[in-house]
Amino acid sequence: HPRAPRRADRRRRRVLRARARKVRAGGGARRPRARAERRGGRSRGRGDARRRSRREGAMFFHIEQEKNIVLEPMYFGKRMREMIESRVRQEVEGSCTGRHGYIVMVTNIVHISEGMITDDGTARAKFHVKYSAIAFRPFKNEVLDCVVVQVTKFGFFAEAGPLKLFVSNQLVPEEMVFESVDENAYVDKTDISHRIVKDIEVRVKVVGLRIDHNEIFCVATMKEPYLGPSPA
Amino acid sequence: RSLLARAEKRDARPDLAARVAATVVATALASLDRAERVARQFGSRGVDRRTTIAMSGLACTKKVVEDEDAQELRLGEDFTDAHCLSMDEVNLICAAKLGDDLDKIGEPTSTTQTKVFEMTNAYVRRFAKEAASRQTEAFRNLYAQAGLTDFEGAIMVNLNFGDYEEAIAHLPSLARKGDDGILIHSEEKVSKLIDDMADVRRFE
Repeated sequence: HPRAPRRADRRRRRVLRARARKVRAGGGARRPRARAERRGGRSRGRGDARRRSRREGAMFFHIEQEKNIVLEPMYFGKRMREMIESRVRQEVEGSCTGRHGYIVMVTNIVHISEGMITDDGTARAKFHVKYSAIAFRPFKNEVLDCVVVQVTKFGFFAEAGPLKLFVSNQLVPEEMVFESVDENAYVDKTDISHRIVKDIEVRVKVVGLRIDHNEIFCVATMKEPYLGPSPA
Repeated sequence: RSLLARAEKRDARPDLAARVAATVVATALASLDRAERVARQFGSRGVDRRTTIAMSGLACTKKVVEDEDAQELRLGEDFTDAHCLSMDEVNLICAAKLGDDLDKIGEPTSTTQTKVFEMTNAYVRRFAKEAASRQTEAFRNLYAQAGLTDFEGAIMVNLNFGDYEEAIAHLPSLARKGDDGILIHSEEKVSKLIDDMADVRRFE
């Protein structure tokens, strides 16, 4: 019918305007979050109380998450489940959120709900998918090993997997001085073989995190005991 | 509900319009019900929709950073129930995934071609010691028997401590005291655990 789509459009525009108004009032969320994400996106209540009260960061986690997938009618059919699984993988793997860190891979799909037809005038269906994934997330005061990528006189940049870290020259021990003879390096005055150059493994401690909406950047220190370049 | 009123007024018009109006009204009412249910759900937790959306912005980021501290074993609500994996285990998983893809499909899938996966794979291959699944199982048993939590155990496996002092420097939670003022994990127990892990690494 010529009028029905327009009514749906008007309703949709009204909903979007209201949502935008709320976001503006509420402080600038960059995208409307799915209901499952707002709720916390995870199943709760498992694990004993003792474990729940003491948790610390150590990078790799196996977590359960939930996501809504909207599927077009052309995919309804025999291969719908595979299509949903591949959509989840495409959207989630390789992404990074401040909340869960980098999602390395989806290990398995736990449950796919029945599809609900959306009411926005298109005949798409929304599925609520629960899946488990491997997440990589650093925490404050965590010690980890990383690989030096670039050395400058202000400090050096390192990488731990997909995570980038920066160690400022003020957080490098005083006995290590910057030299730029052949290549930029921090060399230990007391032991010349002890040096920080590109591609060397270093143990650092994370002191600060900057969590953007799709990137995590860490600042780390090497000034504490038992930190520094790994022995060759 | 105003849509319903308008639809009723239009009932006098031809059938097609009425039928379409009725469908639209039904879906509008259904979505209203759903919205009400969602609002009630949030309302029952003492948080209204506006606050929730406000929390989803900058406030959430700040809250997350303030709540967490690895040394004091505070990890934030998202990871309270998660299992922590050491680099050896992640190495096994990545290698298994690559192997599975080659066996079942014969070519790499999109999972293993994301930048995050490639960088993680390179990282764990570099830092995980020659890992066999027997070794990782042995590590898990060792630290579970010692009463360490998942994350403390994973860090011990990753960082391969030499002695008790180093373990305490990197994992202050190992030196935490119970309610009676006595160390929960005694120095001998932790030293023994470190030695056992070194033995597993050396001999398996």
